[in-house]
Amino acid sequence: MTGYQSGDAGATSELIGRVSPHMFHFFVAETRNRAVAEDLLQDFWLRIHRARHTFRPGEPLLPWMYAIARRVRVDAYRKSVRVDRHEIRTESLPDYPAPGGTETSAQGSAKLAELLADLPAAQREVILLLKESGLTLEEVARVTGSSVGAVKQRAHRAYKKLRKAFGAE
Amino acid sequence: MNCQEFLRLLVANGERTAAAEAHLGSCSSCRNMLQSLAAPAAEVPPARVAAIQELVLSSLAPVRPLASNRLLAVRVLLASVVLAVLCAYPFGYFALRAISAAELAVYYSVILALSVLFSFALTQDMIPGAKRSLNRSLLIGGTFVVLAVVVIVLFRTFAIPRFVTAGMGCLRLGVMSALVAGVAAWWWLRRGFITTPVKTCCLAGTYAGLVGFAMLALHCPLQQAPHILMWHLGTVAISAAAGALIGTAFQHWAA
Repeated sequence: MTGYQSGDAGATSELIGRVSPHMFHFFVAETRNRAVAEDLLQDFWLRIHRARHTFRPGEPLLPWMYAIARRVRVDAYRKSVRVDRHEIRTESLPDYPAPGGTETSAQGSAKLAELLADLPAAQREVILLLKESGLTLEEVARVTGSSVGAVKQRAHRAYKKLRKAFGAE
Repeated sequence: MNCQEFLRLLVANGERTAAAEAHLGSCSSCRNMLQSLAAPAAEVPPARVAAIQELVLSSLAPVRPLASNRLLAVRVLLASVVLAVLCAYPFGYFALRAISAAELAVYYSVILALSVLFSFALTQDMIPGAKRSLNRSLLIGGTFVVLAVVVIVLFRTFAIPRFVTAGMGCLRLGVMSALVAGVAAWWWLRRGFITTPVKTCCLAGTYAGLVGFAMLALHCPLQQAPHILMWHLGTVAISAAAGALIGTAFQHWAA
């Protein structure tokens, strides 16, 4: 990230290559649509580019990135709600895995997205950040702008619901 | 270990103990849930990553990271003090002669302490993923409560001559000062990256209102509790509401 801030092209390319899969996974799990997730990923990097001066070397990188990713996702959701109000959908396209993606990863993401779909947005987000992105409770609290206690409570409620869903099967 | 204890361990991201493993072995619900959460990551198309790299590299230039939170907060605090003093200057500092030195010390100390908290909160809101040491809603709500209590305790005159006429003049001056501070706060926040527009703008609005309140605390010679509670504190309320509205509009526009 420091290389990116100092204008190093190699470091920037490496950062994009390393971080993109994690962010893409986050967007796929949130939107359940690969095409939309790809667009969000691009939007995410454009915003990261504009906001790169707000990252301070020495601070944790992931909370900073996920806070921006969260903003991208919220904006996209609001936009889609606005568009949906004015459009009538005539067909619903199936979400095919992109060429190059393995069947297992596509299936895994779809299964996870399906699994989390029934959770309230705040709980789903916490589970994604904790389990999928590997952030700590403290980092998730930073990303969501809430307290560690609130994050713990949301995670506990989400796990309880998920466990219940599996118990019912 | 039962399911509840296992979930608590999961929430705390704790190390998987032998008891936890034994529980997973015996409880299919917990085991299935954990397996599903460990689904493999989706793969991002390499062509898309390459396109993003090209896009970002096309406008790559060195940037200087923002200064530390403390330094930024000190700048915000200094700006708010200077703005309040400058805005009151053309109208005169009549309040300084209207109340005692002890009252002055308490009154301005409280305003200054609140300004310090707002300076830190605004600075933290400029940085995505920064640690929020202050609860925003509590800070905004607490500001009104603290100011109201201080005003009631310090200014025990409850007579209200020319309540509306004099009050409207104060409200106008206070809102004008808040407007100046609001524009300054917006310019300042634009240097960072706002992730929660409504909360941040409401915070900035309350901060701007506090500058308006401070300006009136320097200028207004009417030291009656009803006057200050209604018109001076009204400046903060109007400014906070305006901030929240601007934040909502900004959020809508940004999407």
